[in-house]
Amino acid sequence: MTAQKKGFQISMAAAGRLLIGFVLFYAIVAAGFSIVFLRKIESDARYTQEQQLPLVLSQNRNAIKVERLASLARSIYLAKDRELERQLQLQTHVLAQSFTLDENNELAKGVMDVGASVKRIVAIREQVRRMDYGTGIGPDPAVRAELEEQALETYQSAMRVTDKLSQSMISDAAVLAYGMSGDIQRTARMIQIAWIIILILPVATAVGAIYVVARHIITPINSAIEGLQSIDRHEGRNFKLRRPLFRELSTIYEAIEAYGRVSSDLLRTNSILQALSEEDGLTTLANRRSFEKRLGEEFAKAAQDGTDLAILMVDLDHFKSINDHYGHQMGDTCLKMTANVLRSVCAERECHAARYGGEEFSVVFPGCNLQEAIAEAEKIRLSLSSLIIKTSYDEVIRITASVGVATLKSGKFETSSQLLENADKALYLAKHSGRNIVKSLPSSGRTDLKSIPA
Amino acid sequence: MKTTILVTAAIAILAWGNAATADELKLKVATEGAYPPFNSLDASGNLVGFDVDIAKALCQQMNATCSFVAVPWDDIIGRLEKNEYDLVVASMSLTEERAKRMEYSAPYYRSHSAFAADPNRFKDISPAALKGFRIAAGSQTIQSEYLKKNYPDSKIILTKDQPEAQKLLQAGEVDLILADSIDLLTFLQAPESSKFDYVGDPVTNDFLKSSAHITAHKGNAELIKKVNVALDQIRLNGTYDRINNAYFPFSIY
Repeated sequence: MTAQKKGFQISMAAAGRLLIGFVLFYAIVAAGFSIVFLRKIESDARYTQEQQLPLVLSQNRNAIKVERLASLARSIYLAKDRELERQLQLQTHVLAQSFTLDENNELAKGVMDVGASVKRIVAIREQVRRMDYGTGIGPDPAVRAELEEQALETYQSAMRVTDKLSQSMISDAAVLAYGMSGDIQRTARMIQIAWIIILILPVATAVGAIYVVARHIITPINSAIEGLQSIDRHEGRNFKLRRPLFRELSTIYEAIEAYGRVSSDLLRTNSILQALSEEDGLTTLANRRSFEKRLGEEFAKAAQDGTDLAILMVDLDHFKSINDHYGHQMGDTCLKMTANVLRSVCAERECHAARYGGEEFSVVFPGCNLQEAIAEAEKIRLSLSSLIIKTSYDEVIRITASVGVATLKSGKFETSSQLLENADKALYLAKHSGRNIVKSLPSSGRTDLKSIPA
Repeated sequence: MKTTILVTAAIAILAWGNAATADELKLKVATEGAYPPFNSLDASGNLVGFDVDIAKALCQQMNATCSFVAVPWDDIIGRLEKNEYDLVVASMSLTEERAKRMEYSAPYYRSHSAFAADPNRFKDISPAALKGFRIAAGSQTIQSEYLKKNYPDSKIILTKDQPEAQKLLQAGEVDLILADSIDLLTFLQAPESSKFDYVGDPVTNDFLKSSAHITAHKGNAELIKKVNVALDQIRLNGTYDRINNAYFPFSIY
């Protein structure tokens, strides 16, 4: 596992705390931002309401007042009536003075000029009237025309001033209004962007969290489950899981991998033990237990299929004296050689050989009748008697064996042990017939063995 | 059962709502009644004028039922302090002393003062030029304060209201009057005043620029807040301009 401890890894609990921390941080930042932002909007709105709007309104009001002033000046120029001129001039006076209430010197000065012009027009007109009625001489047309000319000029200059004033007034108001709408637009766009960001971030975080859960929790858990299943099926031994991002999962992975290793070790040990339990340690032939099991199976099969089945019981003659004379080592060698002979027989045709016990061996031939079995037994007997076994002192040991044969169809056998017993009796007969011989009991030959001469 | 509860609740809410509207504001408004065209008494003794119309518009905006009372200028602040009425709408400009004694609204119109006299006799209105002349002004007005302070060598005659000062001028008992220029406009436009006019250059002295405020007795800031809101509303919805145009040829705001 140490080799795998590379790259980035984090504990799930830490990741959870990190996520909660991020959410809290985000909430605080978003709230702080919102508060600051809304405060700014509020102060902007207040500024607009308290400063800009009154300014626009006052510009507007002044524009109307300038228009009004112009119309008063026009009326005075056209009035040519003393009483009307006086009324209009009084109004002009108050109106002109009212401009001094605003802090706009340029405007106030312009308006005062208009007021002065109006006064001059009235004065000129009064002069003309005095010439008409006061002096009694009658008007001098030239002087009168000149005065009229002056009145007209004064009037025109007053009009120029009011035009200029109202022009600047209107465009000032327009600039202000444009600025205000621009501010509002900018604020609106900022709100839009801010809220898009404020809303997108949690969604992105949630998507990210779901991705992390799917990729780094659910997928690893699934592969862990698959790993467990493959261990159950005894496949994929020594599998390696991809290293997970979260430390907790690594622990689970390590446990699963360890379980996999233990499981496959057990499996291997088990099969070894099984082989050992079925095998004879010395000859590596099947042992008696597994032979009997095998025999049982073959017996059942033959009984079912109606085929024949033969058993050979092979016993080395005078084995005890070999042991006594040459030592157990040589005895074991003889047993191994015998096993090799039997193995070579089973390599030629289907048969199963086993060490039945001591110096006694057994061979089962499926589908083999008595005649064939006797032939095989004879072959084995000859092979064994022709063996030349040398000791370390170059002495030659010769062995012989007695063989008892029994076949399924040569008698009436209910169980495999009855058949085995029959073969054993045949071996007994062979032993009593002088050894180094193959014997089978006649079909009626389940006679009292005691009648057989020793 | 549930329906019954809901219906009962709905009725209760409606009844409560009705009670709330029934409990509407009742206000008593004082004005002078001797300051045309802002406030004066008509032939049948009703209060009329710009101030009165503005007060009525504000009352309507505040959803209040208002009654009006005419109070002599000299008494108008004292009787407000005795709680005889809630609001004063009487073209009152602010002075330091008045600001201390009352709560006051945002300005509802602006104006400035001017001298009125025979233009053939007076051109220069400096204190030196007016030395020894008789000048009339309403008592307890910002104009009277101004005269006392700046024209110590002139003879200052205080009158109980503006019409009295104007009568003195017409009768030749005073040489000049110092008054609000809009107030004077009405006076000067009358045929009887044809020999008088505004005299002197426009007065640019800050002291004589003034704005008119609505006042309430000290501590009633809540009412003044409502008045300010209503004032903004009538300014924006055109009511103010309509009233303005009925009395004056140009905006006095």
